[in-house]
Amino acid sequence: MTYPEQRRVFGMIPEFVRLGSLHRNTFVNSPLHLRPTLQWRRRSTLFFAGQMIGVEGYIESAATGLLAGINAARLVAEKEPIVPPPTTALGALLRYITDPERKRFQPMNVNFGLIPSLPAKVPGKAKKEMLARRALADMDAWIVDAMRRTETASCKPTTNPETALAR
Amino acid sequence: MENIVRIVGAGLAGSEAAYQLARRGVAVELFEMRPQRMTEAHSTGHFGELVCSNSLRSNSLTAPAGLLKEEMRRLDSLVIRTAEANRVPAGSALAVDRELFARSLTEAVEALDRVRILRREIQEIPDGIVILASGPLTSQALSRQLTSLLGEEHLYFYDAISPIVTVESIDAAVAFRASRYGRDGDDYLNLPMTGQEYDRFVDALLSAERVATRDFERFVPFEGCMPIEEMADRGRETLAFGPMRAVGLVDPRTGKQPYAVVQLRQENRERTLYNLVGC
Repeated sequence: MTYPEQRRVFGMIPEFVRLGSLHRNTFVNSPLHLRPTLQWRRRSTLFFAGQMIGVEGYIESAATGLLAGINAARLVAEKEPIVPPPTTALGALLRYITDPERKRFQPMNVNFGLIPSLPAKVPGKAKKEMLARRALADMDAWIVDAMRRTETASCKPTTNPETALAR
Repeated sequence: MENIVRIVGAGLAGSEAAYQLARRGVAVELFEMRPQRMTEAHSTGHFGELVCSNSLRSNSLTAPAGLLKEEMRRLDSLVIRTAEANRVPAGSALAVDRELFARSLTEAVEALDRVRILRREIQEIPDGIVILASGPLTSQALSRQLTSLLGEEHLYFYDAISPIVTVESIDAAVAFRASRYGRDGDDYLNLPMTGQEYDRFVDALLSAERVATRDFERFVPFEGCMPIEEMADRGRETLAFGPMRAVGLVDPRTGKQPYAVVQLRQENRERTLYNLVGC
């Protein structure tokens, strides 16, 4: 709706200090272009992060910036870039948005549906608690492991960029 | 390898990346085009200016956003720490005073010795190690370069910003404080509607003049953030079952569930502003 029309329609509700609006949202087709480490498939020194990689939400944006920061620092130190395990919320989200098999890509929020399910069937609330507990345990282990891992970066793409882009 | 990382954009991602690099002893050049070059959604030059809701969503471990926050805490996230230092009450959600939050985040990044802040627009992706975090409102020049770099896979669509109202314009005799099923205490203000009032509201919505789509933007609404008039188009009751649903809420004046409600979320610490939930 236009601003005058918002004032008319919402007029029965209270006084507005900011009206609603729509804005442009630019985002990259990450499944085709990015590795889970957030490196561009065709140039490993170029990282993408934030809402423009097709994550939806403030926390998701900040979290991808966090990983891009970690990995850019690793590149400077000539260490291999890393990704948290898929059982963590961050690892699951990264794998979703950079899965080269994904066809019609749309931005994604973090959600439990992205995290691999538990080995055994567990009902509702208990399931979320177990997924969360596993995620945090795996994240803690990953942080310890990441401190140790010092193998040098090869700077070679893990997937052949031509095949990935041809899909 | 050159011992410096260039970051384009000091939003939530760029600011967090700068902090993570600095704490690992890496020198950073952080480029931000605001305030010299503003966007259609931002109004300050602050880092991490929040342009949609002021809520960073759930803080509960059994909610996905809450779990992600906890993972980030364990990775020493500057954004989460800054949000917690500037929070406003929002039940189990982490909501912030957006002005205080952005100002503290800016100050925290400015205080980092290894981070050099450059307030100018980047039109071409720099050489060396680069983090591109220029956001959904990436400038035209940079967008153009990205399009030629990435090809057809560079997409556009719209996002919605929720309106904000003043507290004194809310009729205290009608509005009531409550959260759905009492889950989040009384952090939300609810404006109840009868069936007739709801009907009049939907009529007004459907007859309202819409904003014309600019030709460089394709209109592809995202389900999580759809304009209210688009939802009303889908059926007269879509809103009553969607963002305006009254389930789990009881109007203390009638002792009953209203037909529909407009929920308002606290916007700032002073409790003078509220935003409409359901952006």
